[in-house]
Amino acid sequence: MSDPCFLGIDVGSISTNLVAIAPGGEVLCELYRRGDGHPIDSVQACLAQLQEEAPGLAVRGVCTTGSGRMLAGAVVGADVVKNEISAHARATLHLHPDVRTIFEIGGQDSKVTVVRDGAVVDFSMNLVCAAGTGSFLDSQARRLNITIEELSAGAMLSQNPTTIAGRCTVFAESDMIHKQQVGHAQPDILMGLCHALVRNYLANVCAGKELKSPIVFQGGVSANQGICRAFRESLGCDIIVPRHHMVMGAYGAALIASRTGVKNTRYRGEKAATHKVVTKGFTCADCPNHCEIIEIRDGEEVIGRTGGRCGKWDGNGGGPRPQVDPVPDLLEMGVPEP
Amino acid sequence: MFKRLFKNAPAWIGGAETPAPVALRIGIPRMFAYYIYPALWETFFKDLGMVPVVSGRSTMQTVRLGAQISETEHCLPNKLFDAHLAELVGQVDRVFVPRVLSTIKDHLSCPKFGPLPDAARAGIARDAVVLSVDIDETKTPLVETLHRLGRLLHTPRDRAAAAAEHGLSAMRAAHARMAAPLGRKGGPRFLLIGHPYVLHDDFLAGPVVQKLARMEAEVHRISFGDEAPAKSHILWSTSNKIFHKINSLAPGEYAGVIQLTVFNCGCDSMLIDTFRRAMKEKGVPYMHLMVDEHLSQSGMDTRIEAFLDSLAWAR
Amino acid sequence: MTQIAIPNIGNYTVALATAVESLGIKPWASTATTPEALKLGTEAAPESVCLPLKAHLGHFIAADRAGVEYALMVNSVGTCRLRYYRHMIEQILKDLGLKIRIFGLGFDGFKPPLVRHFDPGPITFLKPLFHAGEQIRAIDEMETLAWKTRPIELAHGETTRVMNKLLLELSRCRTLAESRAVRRTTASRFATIAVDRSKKPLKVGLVGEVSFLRDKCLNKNIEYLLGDQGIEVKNFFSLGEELRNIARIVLLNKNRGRELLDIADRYLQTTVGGHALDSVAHSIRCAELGYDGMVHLAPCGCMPEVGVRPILKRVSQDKDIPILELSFDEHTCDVGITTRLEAFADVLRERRRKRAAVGVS
Repeated sequence: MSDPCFLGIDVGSISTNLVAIAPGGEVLCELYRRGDGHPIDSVQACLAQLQEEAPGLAVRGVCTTGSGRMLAGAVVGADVVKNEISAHARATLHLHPDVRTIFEIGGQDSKVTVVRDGAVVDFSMNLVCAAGTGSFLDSQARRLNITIEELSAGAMLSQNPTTIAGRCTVFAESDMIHKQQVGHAQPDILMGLCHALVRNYLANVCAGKELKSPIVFQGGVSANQGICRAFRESLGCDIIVPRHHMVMGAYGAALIASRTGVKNTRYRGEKAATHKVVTKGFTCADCPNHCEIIEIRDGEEVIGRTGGRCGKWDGNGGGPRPQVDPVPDLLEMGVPEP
Repeated sequence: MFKRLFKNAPAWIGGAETPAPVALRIGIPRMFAYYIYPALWETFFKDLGMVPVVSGRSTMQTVRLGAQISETEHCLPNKLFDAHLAELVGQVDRVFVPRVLSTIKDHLSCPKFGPLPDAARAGIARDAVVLSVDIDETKTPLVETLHRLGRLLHTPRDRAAAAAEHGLSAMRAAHARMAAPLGRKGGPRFLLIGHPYVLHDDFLAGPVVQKLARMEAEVHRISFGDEAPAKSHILWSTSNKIFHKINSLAPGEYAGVIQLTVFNCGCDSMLIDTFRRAMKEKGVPYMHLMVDEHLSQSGMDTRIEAFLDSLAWAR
Repeated sequence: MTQIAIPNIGNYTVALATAVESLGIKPWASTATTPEALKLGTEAAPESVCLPLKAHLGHFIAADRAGVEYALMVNSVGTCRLRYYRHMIEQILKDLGLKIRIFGLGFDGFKPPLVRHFDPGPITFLKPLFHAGEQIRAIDEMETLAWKTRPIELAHGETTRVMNKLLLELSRCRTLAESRAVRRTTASRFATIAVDRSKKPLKVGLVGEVSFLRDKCLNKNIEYLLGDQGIEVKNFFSLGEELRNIARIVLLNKNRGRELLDIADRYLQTTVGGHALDSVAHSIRCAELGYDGMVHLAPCGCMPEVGVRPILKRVSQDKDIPILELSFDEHTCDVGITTRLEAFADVLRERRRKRAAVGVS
C-alpha cells in the first residue's frame, strides 16, 4: 500500500532538512542532516533515508526551499521552488496561527518576520555579517574546544553572565580571550556569548521592527537552550520554540506543496535518490554580467540550470526556455572603420 | 483681572510682571552640534530664559542603546546621537536638533547632518517637539541664524541679540578651553586629530586621551575655533580643517600625530588616505586609530604603547 | 584610433558611446560593470569606501589593461563622497602606475575639457549631443514599455529579447535619423509581444542611489528579477529626466528639487545630497498613486541614502506602503537578494489579496 504524501526539502548553508507530510498536514517523517558542503549528496542521502524510515510513501508534490533551492529543485524535480522566508512563515502559521513575530536563526542567515492577522507584513534578513547567526556560535565553540551542545548546556549553568562585546566573530573572539585571561568562569563566558549573539541579532536584524508577542523562535540555533534563555532575558517575555523547530523551513515547504494543487508531480521518483547527478559550470559571455551558469545533468539529460541573471538560462528541467538575444556588448563592437 | 488675562501672554506685551510661566526646558543631545558649537546653545537658551538640558556623557550604555535603536548602517557618532536624543525625549519640552549644512563659508558639512532633524521627527523623537534651525554659514552668518532662532522662540529682538552675543563669546572661550593641552605639561607633545564630536566625546576619545596622559604625554587636540582654513579640493569643513592643520605643521612641533576615526564614517573613509599621504610627506610619525562600538581599553592601550615604543626606537 | 573608457550607466551607456563615437573617438564601455572589473576595483580601493567607487575604479583599471588611454567620468558637485571620486581614483591609478588619463564630464570653462582636448569644432561638437539626446529618449521609452510588458508576457523572456534587440539596433545607429527611426518603431515592436491583459501585476517603484538603480551588475538585474515575478517596476532614475532638469535649471532657473521638496514637505526639508530627497519624495508620491511597494537600493553605508532611512520607515508606516531596504557591498550574493525580493513579492501579493477581501481598493 502507498500513502500519499508531500515533501518539503530545505537546503540551507549548513544543513539539509526533509519533511514528509500527509495531505492533512501531519508530519510523517522529519530528517535533519548537517551538510558537508555537498548539497546534491545531502539531498540524495535524505531521500534514501526517507525510503528506509518511511517506505511506501507515494509522493504527490515536492517543494524546495533554502539558499540551495534551485539546485535541489532540479535534482528532485520540484513542483514549487519557494524562498525560505515564506516557507518558514507558512509552517509557523500552521502550528501557531496567533504568532506575531518569527525569529529564525540558521547557520549563516538569520531573519525576523513580522506577522499580523495571519499574514506576513514585513521581514528582514541579516546583511553580510555573520554576527547574529549560528556560525558565530560555531566558531566560538570551536575556539573553546567544546561542542555546540556543551556550549548550550554550559550556558544554562551561568549565574552571572559576563558581557562579551562583539559585532563580528573576530572582535568577539578577541574579547572572549580577554575575558578568559581575566579569569571569568567558563559558564559565564558561554552565556555571555549567547547574549552577544542575541544582542547582535536584535540590533542588526530586528532594528526598527515591532516585536510583538507571541514570538516563535525556530531554525537550527533554536535548539540551543542558552540562546533561548538570552532571548527571554533580553526581551522580558516568553518565546515559543515550536515542535519541529529544526526543520520548520522544510515543513513549511511541504505545506506549500500540499496546498498548491499539483495534479501531476514532477518528482523524479527513485531516480532523484539514486541517479548520479553532476554539475558543469561555464561562463555565459552574452552580456557584460558574465554570469557563471551551472548546468545540472543526469547522464546526458540536462535537468536544470542555475546562476543566470537574465532568464536566458532559466528552466527547472522543464525543457529549454526561449532563447534570449544577447545584450549588446559595446566592448566588442567599437566603431566600424570608415 | 488683568493679570489673569495676560497670564499666557509673552513677556513683551507686559507679561513680565505676571508670575513667570514655567520655563521651557530645551534638550540638547551631547553630540554633533553640541561639540561643533561648544557652549553656544546652553548659554543662548539660558539667556532667553529657558532651561537647557544636556544629555549625559557617552558611556557603554549609550553605545548599547544606540546600537539598538539606530539605523544599523549609521556611523558610530550618529548612533550615539540617536541614543542621546532618546535619553532626552520625554524629559524636556523641546529637543533641539539644528540642521547643520555648513559651518564655514564655502564649505559643506557631512551630508548626514542635513536630514538629521527630519530623521529625528520621523523616528526617535516622534513623540517630542523638535526645535530646529538651518545653520548654513555659507549663506547666513551664525549670529543671524541665532537671531532667527530667537524669533522662532518668540523672544524680543534685543534680548535674542544679547543672548547671541553672549553665546558666541562663551563659544570662543569654550573653543580655547577645548584646545588646551591635557596630560603632563612638558612631556612629549602629541596631536590628536579628528572630528570635534569624536575628539571630545567621552566614549570615543576618552580611552585614548587617558592612555596618553598616563604615559606622561602632553596631549593637544586640533582646535576648530580659529579662522577658516584655505580652500582645497576638500569641501567638508572639518576634514579640510584637519587637512589644513596637517599641511601647516612645523617640523618637530609634535612627537607624533594620532588620527581618531570612527567606524562607518563616510568622510574619513574617503580622506584618510589623503591625510596619511600628507603626513608622510611631512615626515611626522602618524598613527590612525579606528574606534568602533566594541572599543576595548586593552586594545587601545596596546596600540598606543606600540606607537610610543616605535617613536622611542626611531630616536 | 584613440580610445576612451566611459562610465557604466546601464542602458544609457549606449547613448553615451554614440556621442563619444561621433567625436571620432572609439568608446570602451559596457552596459554593466563586469564582475572582473569589480574585483579589480575592490582590490585596489580602500575597504571602507562605497561600492560605486570600486566599480568605477575597476572599470578604469580594466580599461587601462586593455590599452585604453583616456577615461571619462562625471564631475559631481554634490555633498557626498561622490565629489571626491575623481580625486581618489586618479590618486589610486597613479599609485598603481597606470597611464590612463581621466576627463571630467561637466562644464569646465566654456567647453568641456574633453572637447577642448580633442577640439572637434563647434558643429561636430553639437551634433553628437543631439544624437545622444535622441537615443536617451529612445532608451527611456523602451524601458518604460519593458517594465510594463515583462510581468504580463506570455512567453518567458520575450520582453528581454525585444528590448535587447532594440538596444543592439540603437547602438549601431550612426545618424540622428537612424536613431529616430528606431525610436519610432519601439512601441510597435513591443506591441508584438503576446501578453495577458487580464493580469493586474503588482506595481513597485525603485528608488535609491543612481549607480545601483542603473548598473545591472551592481543591482543584480533587479528590474528583471521583479518583472519575472509578475511585478511591474518603475525605475526612478531617468537620465532623460535628469538632463531635462539640468536644462530647466540653466534656461529657466527652475529646479525639480523644489517640486520634490514640496512633496516630501512634512518628512524631509532639505535636498540632503545624492538622490536621497528623490527617494523620499517618490516613495510618498508612489503611495498616493497606489503603488504596492517600493524597493530602496543603496550601497552599504551610503551617506545620504542611509541618512534618510528612518524617514523612509516613517513614510512606510504613515502612508501604508511597504518599503524594502536593500544594501549592497562587494560580498552581496545573488541568492540573498533573490530571496528577499521573492519574500517581498509574497508580502505584497498577500497584502493585495487581503485588501481585496475587505474591499479596500
